[in-house]
Amino acid sequence: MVELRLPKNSRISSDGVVWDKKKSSSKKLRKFKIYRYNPDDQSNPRVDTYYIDSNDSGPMVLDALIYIKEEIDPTLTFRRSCREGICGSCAMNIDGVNTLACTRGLNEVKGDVRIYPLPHMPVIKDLVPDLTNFYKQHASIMPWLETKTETPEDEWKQSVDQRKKLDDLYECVMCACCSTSCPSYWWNSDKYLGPAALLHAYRWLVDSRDETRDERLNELEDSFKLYRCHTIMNCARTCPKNLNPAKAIAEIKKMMVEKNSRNK
Amino acid sequence: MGQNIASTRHWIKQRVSSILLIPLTLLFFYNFLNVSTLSYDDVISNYKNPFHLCVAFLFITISIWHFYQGIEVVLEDYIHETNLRNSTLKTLKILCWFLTLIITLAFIFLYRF
Repeated sequence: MVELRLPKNSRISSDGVVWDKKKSSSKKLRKFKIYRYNPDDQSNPRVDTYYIDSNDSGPMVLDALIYIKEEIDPTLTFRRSCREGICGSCAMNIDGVNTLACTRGLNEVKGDVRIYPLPHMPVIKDLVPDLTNFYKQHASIMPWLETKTETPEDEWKQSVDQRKKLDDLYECVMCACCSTSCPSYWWNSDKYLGPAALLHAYRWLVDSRDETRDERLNELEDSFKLYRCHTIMNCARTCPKNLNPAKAIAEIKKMMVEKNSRNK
Repeated sequence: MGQNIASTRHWIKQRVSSILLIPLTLLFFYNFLNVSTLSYDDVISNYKNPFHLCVAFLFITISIWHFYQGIEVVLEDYIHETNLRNSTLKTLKILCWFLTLIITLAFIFLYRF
């Protein structure tokens, strides 16, 4: 049966640390409540409280996290890299929404800034989730060009219209915000590929240069891999790049029907 | 053919049954509200009309079919133990068929007598 409560050792304990309020008369003092977990401590996760003067850090949530790590608590752990919404490393749950810390402005968050790791994923440390299964699923959809004809001497050509079909698909940065916001993925992440992998699958299915569409569809045709999507739409709502994985999944389902009626 | 064409068929059947239920629900409840104030004999004679009888019969049986398809997905979602899931599904399937049989007999009885 599905587990409705977190396992005992994953429940948040009440002994979170409140780090000293910075002596500041500024009205821009913000309260941050951040999820902390260290497997080496052998203790349950906790939520630590930090206070930052917004004037001291940059305007984004990631800037505040970097400030906390550099000035208050160097043990705070999180992923980050490009700081401009391209790498997808700093995906986390901010103010109840999965998003990128580098593109979420502090002024977009009302009240306390609550920061947790991406939900329903094993946590390696603090805000760092284990994405091994997520990447494995991405690899399973063959995210590369597959061709059968001989490779042309110069390049695989594509018209402007054919290229246009890849818009709103290729921009995905694999941050996992969508997959980890999907209840179907929460319950069946071992079998359901999730919105991110399926969006990428669709990106290759509509690529005019790819010559293995039926093979790709055959691979996806499974009651769990594809059909666990119940069009809940959390993926589209949370995507920090404003993409729509639910629409891509619906298109795959239509392609599946077309393929089966063609092969009858 | 795909590895699991049954999954696509299941998805198509769910769409077909839900689309069929749109007009059937409207027609069924339209007639249901019309007869709600009538006497017992008038209601029986209304349902002896082949059109009303067909609408009611199709609405109820397709609703059962649609219910079974939906519950199948819900059980697949939440029950991970294969044996428990399969036995629950089998029990539900038998119950749905039993219900359909009773409804069919009831409608035959209604029409004939």
